[in-house]
Amino acid sequence: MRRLLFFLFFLTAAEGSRAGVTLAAQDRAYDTLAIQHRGRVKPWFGFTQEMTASLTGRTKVSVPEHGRLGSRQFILSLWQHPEGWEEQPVILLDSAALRKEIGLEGEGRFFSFRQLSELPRLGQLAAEAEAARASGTSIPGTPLASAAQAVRMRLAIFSSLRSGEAFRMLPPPEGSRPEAAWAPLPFQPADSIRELQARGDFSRTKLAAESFYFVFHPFRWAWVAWLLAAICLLVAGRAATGWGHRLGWLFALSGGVLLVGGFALRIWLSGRPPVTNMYESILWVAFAAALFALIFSYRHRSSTYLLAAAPVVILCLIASDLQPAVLDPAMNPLVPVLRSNFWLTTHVLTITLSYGAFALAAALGHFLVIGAIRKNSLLPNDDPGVLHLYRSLQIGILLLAVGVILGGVWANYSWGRFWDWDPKETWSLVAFLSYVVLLHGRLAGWWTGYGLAVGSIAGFLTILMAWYGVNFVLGKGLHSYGFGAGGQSLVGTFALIEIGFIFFALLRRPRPALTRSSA
Amino acid sequence: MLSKEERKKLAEKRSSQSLVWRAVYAFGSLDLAILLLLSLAGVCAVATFLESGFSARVARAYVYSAPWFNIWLLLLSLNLTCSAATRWPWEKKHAGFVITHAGILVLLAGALIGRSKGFEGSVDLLKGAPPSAEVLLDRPRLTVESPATGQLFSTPFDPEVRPPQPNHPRLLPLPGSEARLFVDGFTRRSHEKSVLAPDPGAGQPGLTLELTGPFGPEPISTSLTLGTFPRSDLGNVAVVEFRPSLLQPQETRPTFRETQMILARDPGHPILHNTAGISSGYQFFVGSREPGGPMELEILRPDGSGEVYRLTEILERTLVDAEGTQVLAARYWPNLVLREGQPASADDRPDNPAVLVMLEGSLADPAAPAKLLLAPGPVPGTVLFRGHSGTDKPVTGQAKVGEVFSPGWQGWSARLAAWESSARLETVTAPLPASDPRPGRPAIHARLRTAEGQDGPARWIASGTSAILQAEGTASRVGFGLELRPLPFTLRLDSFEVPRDPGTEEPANFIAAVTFAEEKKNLEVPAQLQMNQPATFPPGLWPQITGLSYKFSQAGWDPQNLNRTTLQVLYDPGWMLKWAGSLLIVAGIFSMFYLRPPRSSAT
Repeated sequence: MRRLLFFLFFLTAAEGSRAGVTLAAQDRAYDTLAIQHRGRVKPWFGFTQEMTASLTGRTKVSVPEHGRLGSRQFILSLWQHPEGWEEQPVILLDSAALRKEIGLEGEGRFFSFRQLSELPRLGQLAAEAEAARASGTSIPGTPLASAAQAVRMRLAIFSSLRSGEAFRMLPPPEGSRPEAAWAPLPFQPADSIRELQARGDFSRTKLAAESFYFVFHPFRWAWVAWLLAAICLLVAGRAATGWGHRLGWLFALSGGVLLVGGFALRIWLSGRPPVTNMYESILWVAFAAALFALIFSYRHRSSTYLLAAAPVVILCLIASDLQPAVLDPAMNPLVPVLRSNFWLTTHVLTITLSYGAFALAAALGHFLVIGAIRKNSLLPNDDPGVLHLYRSLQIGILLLAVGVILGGVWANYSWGRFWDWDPKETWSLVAFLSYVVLLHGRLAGWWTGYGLAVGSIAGFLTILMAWYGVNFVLGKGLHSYGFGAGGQSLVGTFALIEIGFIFFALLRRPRPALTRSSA
Repeated sequence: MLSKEERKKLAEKRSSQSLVWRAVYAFGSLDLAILLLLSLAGVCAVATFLESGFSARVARAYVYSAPWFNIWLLLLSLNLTCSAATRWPWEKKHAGFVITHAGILVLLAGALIGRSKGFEGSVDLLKGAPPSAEVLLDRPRLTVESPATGQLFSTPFDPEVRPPQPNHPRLLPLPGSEARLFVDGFTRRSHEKSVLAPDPGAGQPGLTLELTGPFGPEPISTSLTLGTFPRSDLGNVAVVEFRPSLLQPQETRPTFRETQMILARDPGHPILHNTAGISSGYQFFVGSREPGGPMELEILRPDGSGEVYRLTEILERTLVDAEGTQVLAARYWPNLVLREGQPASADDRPDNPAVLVMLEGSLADPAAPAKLLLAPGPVPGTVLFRGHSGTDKPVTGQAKVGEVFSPGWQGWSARLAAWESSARLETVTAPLPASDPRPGRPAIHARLRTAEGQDGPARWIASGTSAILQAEGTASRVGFGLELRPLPFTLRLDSFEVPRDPGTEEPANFIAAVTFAEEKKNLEVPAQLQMNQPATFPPGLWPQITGLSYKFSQAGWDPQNLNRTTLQVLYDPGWMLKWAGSLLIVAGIFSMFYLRPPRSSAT
């Protein structure tokens, strides 16, 4: 393999050069240049973000002697001054079990290319994983083997950068097929590359837009706007009018516009509907919660929904940026099975819309619980807060029912089977049943509005299991496309906190005087 | 319109007057509903973890198809019906509630029909093979032959759900006999291997050799018998042979005859004919090194060495080359032309020199680089061996059973594991060791046990095969495998294509063209199926609506053999009810939430 040759070249050529690396200058001029990568033409800045995240798990990398580098400088340096980078500990090995297995434990999480490529055990494990995948058996490789394979892919990415092969910025000559490969270019000033790219057949507007998308990052500003909205609304207090209230609404609305705009841009740039991987589903849930909150707030003249949606939007959007290696923000082409599939699209969009509604309901539940404890009331059914909660639950249940059925429709359309007790299907049914129990229980008098509030938090935990747990914790079944070591600690901590809150809510249940009926 | 109090009075009246109504109110209670829903949710949640730990089939067997799960669903259906009944007489406000509950009932009914009458299986199709009329279901069965009548009896038998083990065996009765079938083992992966079986009637010695190489601790085991299976090729890397003696007989290597017509004007492209069908590797060039100089013939051997001869010196003289190849430059035409189809020379001027060369030789033995020769030793239970690898000096010696010796191959050691004076080779099924990554077929470990408790010899029976089990006085053929369900029509694969993503080997789609045929109706229906677009038979609206149709979708393929594809077959007569039920549920929920007359509180 070519990779092997380059690696051998490095080993022989770079002996003794334990000296550091030279950095390239920070330069934004390259941002909107085109580069062909993973089957599509993307802007340089997006490429640098993606490559840095793939190698290091973040969009910034720490290099000894030079401190933290942004993705631009890192990739530019690799391109302009590749010597010595194979000795720098920039490659992430995040599986502690794997580190132990290959004898690298206790040395941090980042290793150099040379260190990792000299370990035969890594190659063995990766070969195991590849064999399991190629043989088409449904028995997945061991987690160790998958982790090893992930590291191997990082090594391949590194050597493609180090050798310059990844920098495919020279478009094919005029008249070539659209899928023709671009040729790698050596490092040179941005202007000369721009000239060379003049003959390329790609949309410069789209490239500039995509570069803008990554630089501006609308989804980050969205949560900032919602944070400001929350602060204003809290400060404004109960007052339904006043500048605090209006400002809060303005910020919330702008946050909504940023979300819609961000999605519109993403859809336009990637050419497909938005919910195709875990990253996009988190963005969509934030969007759904914001959308429902804005609609309900407007219809029922209450800013409570906005206040409740704010933490959902903020948490989701912050979380989406925390682990770019696991939650990949890049817009890469889809696996063919997922492409151009109407039923699949509507099914996924509907279900994730319901997740957003239930997230909003869970947030409202928190507020209600705290408010109820303060007022020492079990919240009668006509309490306005309970009504808000009930409306969120209604839309969530309806969308979940429709989404689950659309899933059956799609399965039936594609293979003939309607329901197959796949873990994701089963968990979405469990979630649905939980919320149905919640509503029926209130009907039966088992609990009141307070119970509804606590239950909506518990119900969201089942949603979390259906959304995230099935893929990352169970790891089996048709939907486990994302069996990875990503973010389990984050989600696990969140779940534990919520469970803790539920216990708190139950223990500190308001006990109003018995003369008042509790229904 | 009945008010709340009026309804309450009605309920009391009904309950006091009729036992049936009392039951209806009891079974239709909201509390029961909540309990059922909650427990159903809990069970499903647990089942997903079970599935994650075991397999989908196990989860299905233990939970989703288990009798108690069905009773649960039955209770739920009862509850749904009764709760709707308790609201009788229905008013407009009950519409959503009744529709939703009806929808659930219809859905469950569809699921029941689908489960009992429907099936799901797979069919493997080969292009050009006769049409298939059977579907392989994922339901393992055990088939036994009655020792008395020879009749076959079949029963569902899923060893994966409750794996039989030595301490948890399964005992099954054998129809027509007092003996029983004793199953005490199950492996998910088994393979066929050759073992040495002592056989007094065989008349030839046999041995088992274990070779351990540098790649890993697990030895390769190979068994050989002197007459019938004396040679084992270990994957083109090495050869092990068992011979009466170590003396290498003069192996008659195949000979060949080759003629080459060499043209000076077209060097490197002789007209070549070889009786063995391959080139000898000899190349010839004719010409003169100096213009006007004497004609010369250059002989280039396959190993690269060569000589140049004056043509006049070697014409019509046979040269014996290394390895015994005979080279004869037979004819020379200074100016080659074809006259009446025969080569001739126009004149003596060397304008188009051509030489006919004839070769006769023996083909090199495409020998494996490493070889181990074994012969019976002076005493039974010992062998003489000679082994070498490549051009290394051979290693010779003597070994007895159990002894480890070096076969003369770098990094390898050999061990004589077994020796039988009279043996034959038998193919038996055995479980694959865990370290072996190959996929294997499931197999069960079974034997016959007589009424008196005597056990016959035990064997592993792989899925899809059968074996004869014997015990004192009885014998039965026992088969283990997946159920084969016949189809009322045949299916033939006409073509199978796998277009790829541009520039890669990744499949973009799987397109299969098949033909369904029903002989009785003289019907032939071609159809095409691709990923996400299955083919249905019988075609038409009515079979689709009723669900009495078979749906074929792309399930699997073999990248090495594009003439083969595996299709998933689904027959689900309940599907329409499932759809209708689902639509009713959604309509019902929607109307309950959004179409009700507005009230101040949701009670």
